Amino acid sequence: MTRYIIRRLLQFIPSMILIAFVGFLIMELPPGDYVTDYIRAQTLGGNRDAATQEAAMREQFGLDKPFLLRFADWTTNLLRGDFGISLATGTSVREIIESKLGATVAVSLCAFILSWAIGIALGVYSATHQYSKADNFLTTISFIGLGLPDFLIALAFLVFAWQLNGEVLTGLQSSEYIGKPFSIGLLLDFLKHLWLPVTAVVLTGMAWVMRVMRANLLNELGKNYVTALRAKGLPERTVIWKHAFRNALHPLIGALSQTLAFLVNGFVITSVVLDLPTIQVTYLDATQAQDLYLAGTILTFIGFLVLLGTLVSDLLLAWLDPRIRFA
Amino acid sequence: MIKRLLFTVALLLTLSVSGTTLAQSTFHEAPSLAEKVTAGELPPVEERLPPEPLVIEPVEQVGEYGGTWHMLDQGNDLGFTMMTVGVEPFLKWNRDASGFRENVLKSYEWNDDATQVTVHFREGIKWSDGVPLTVDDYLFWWNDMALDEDVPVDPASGTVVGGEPMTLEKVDDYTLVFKFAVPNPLFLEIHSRGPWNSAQSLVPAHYMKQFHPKYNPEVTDTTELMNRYNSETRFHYPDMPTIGPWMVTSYVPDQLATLTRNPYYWKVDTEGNQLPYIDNIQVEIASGPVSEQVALKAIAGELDMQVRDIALQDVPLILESAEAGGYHVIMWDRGDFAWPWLMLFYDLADDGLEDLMYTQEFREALSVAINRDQINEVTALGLATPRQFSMLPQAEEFQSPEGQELYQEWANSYIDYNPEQAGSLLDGIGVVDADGDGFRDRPDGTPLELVITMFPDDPKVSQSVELIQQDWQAVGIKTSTSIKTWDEYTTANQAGEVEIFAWPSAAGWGLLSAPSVWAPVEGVQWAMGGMNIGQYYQTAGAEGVAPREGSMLAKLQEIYARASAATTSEERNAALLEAYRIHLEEGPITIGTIGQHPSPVIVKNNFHNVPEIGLVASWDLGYPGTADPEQFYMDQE
Repeated sequence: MTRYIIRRLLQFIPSMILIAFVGFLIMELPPGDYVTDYIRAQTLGGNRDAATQEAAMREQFGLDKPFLLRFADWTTNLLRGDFGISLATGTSVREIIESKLGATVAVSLCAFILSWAIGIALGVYSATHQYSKADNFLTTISFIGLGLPDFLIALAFLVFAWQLNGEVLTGLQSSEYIGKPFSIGLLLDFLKHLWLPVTAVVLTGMAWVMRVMRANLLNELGKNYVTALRAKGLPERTVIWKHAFRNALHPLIGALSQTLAFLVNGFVITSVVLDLPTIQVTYLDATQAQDLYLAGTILTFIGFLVLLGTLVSDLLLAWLDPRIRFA
Repeated sequence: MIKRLLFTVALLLTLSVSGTTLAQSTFHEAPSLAEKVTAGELPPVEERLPPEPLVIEPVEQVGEYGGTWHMLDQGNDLGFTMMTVGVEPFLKWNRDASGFRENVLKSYEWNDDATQVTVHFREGIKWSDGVPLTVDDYLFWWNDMALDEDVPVDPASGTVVGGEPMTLEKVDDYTLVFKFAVPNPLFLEIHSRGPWNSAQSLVPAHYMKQFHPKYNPEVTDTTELMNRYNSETRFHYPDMPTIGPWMVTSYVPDQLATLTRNPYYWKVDTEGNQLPYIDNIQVEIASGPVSEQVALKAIAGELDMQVRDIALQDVPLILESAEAGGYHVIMWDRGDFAWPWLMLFYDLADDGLEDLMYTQEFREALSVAINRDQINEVTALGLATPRQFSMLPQAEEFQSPEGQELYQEWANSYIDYNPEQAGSLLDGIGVVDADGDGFRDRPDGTPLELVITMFPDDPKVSQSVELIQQDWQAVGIKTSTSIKTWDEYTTANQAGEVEIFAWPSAAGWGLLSAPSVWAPVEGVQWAMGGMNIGQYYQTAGAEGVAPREGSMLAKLQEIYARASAATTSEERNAALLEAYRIHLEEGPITIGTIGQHPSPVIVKNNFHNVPEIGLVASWDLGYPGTADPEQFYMDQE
């Protein structure tokens, strides 16, 4: 088992290099670079002298060097923990990512835990009470959740909250608490903002988990071993939770491989719509502005999390189901 | 007894009157600063202000101290904030943009041939940390940043003329002599536009030196120095001194910047109150499309005053909640001459089309075939002005009666929608449907198809272009559209492959702002006629493509040369009007659509001294900084 893990970890290295390379290459593909984009924006705003700065800026950012050389520089620095600087703000990429990670993980972890906990519980309930009134109701809810994008739900909540108390709950904090040290007031204020994106994301996330859980469990419940267990006189609770449920979990565990990446890169549009200070928004902006090192680092980071997530989900599956161990 | 009483009253009156005069001769400060003076944290206001502070006339009335101004910014570059607190150049635009007034410079004298100007800095201006501002601060920028090859700062426009950088001579701490290789009569105005130019060049040398490799051997690269110089990052550093009315006290990326009054601000109102009136500014930083965030926050009454970025389409919605939110909306002007404007290109790989472009009837037909009212209704709620491509009425050269008349004629030329006239004009030059496919062909019988190119991200431009395409198709000109990024556009422009380009909103201002929009004199993307033709003029014929001999483009280049060499404003204005007359008589050379869009400004009902006029499209004009935000005030309970 240990050897298996080590082997998998070693496989990370070439994959990571490939991911970083592709990530970097994608940023190169659109015509122009950060500097052209910057000069265009300045020019359209009226600063028509910005163009005289073009060559000097490119030199400062190292954009005048050939692609491969820049990539090599960046990857060697990456190994030393230096991710480069953001071209747009001149601050280190590491600082930017670190400053965003807390808020990002807070929102997405809450969303993830809630949507899975509620989704699984309701899914099991639905499956065991198939075609009951409650099941029909939950099915309807889950179809609505699946059908509506989370950003739309978030927008609806935003308007609703505003009509209720006249506050626009964008962001994760009221302005008077931003940048302030921790206090109870700050926590309450944070929670006041947090529920909105979390509920919106949970509604859609939960719906999916619920559908998958219900379908799989129904599938398992129809199998012969369940009939056999019941015939043996086992209590229904044991039949469902100890046997059928475990077998029905496979696809969800498989989907876990994407979860780590979701934690830093889920619900991008919701983040933009609600103006959340999360890494998703940073990544989107960086990509649009061709902020090379920032976007490249985040993409590589997400790639790393996908790899890690896959490993974790593989291990979990192996633990859950002896049949697929070391297969 | 009564006599004595009267005497006492008279005495008291005299005393109180003399008391007022006494008070007027001294200066007043905000209560928050007075506390600090009492606590010994700040020197008294008389010592903080220059001996002769700049007096700012309030728009409506003398205001009250206090309050926090809530606004929203577009992103981490804090561009809107910079336009509010970062516009302190040598000279400042008048509030109505009609010309310039004194600011950091108290006075200046030109020599006769406009090759040398002696400028006098206002004595006693201090940076927000109390260190005096002197010409050395400017010299640091010029010698150690602009001229230093290790620092990636290119000299601002106007500082290099005739191929040679200006030379500076320090007379004393407040007097500086600028010398130029060739006449440079508009230098001070050009160097005073917007939040860049001299507003950016005036850096606190005593602070900047610690980040400069030349002064601090521990510094190896210029990243930190440049971060504090570049306009989109300089407000990220609360420790950086400023001469603006407010200074940044905290900055949290993507979320919030807070600003507080600069205790050393060097302007007072007419009663000797040190400005600014408002204590703090709180700037929320939007991510994603800012105009939607603005609309949301406005409706909730969370914005005290917001100049940018309010979409015209959102105004009805915003007005619905005006009463509940306690605000009103005033209409400033974008000051755009057109949005979009159709640049026609006269340097085309396709010779047959180039011939047509040089044919005045063809251009006239294109212009009158456009239904500008429809564009106005669809894209601007009917609030903009249908107009030909022409400079703005506020420009100095239009202020004479002759200028006014020319302006009226020019702005209204070839703009009446008349498809029949367009048809007969085209018939007259042989652009008729020769092959019977329903579309007109070139005079030589080959098919004619026009391509309008645009940038990908301006919905207003694409909406307008779609309408123009329909209009032109309706008179029988086959038209298609193409979307290009900045780079693709540049390359295609240089290759003579762009036929017509729909440029987004823009403002132009005679010689002061983007003269290339009315004369092809620079090899830049917004040069009318084409980059190569501009390049030809800029390099004196060494590179680029010459305009056709005797054509209107050649005339414009020639007049531009005269206008920019003129040393008096009369001479300059006469030359400019002459150039505009070419646009009128041989026009349209570039086609305008609709312009002078109103620009909504959200103002809380308790927020005062906001002027009626503001021109916000071009940041060169520096609004709202130009409107003197230091004299805005909020009612205090």
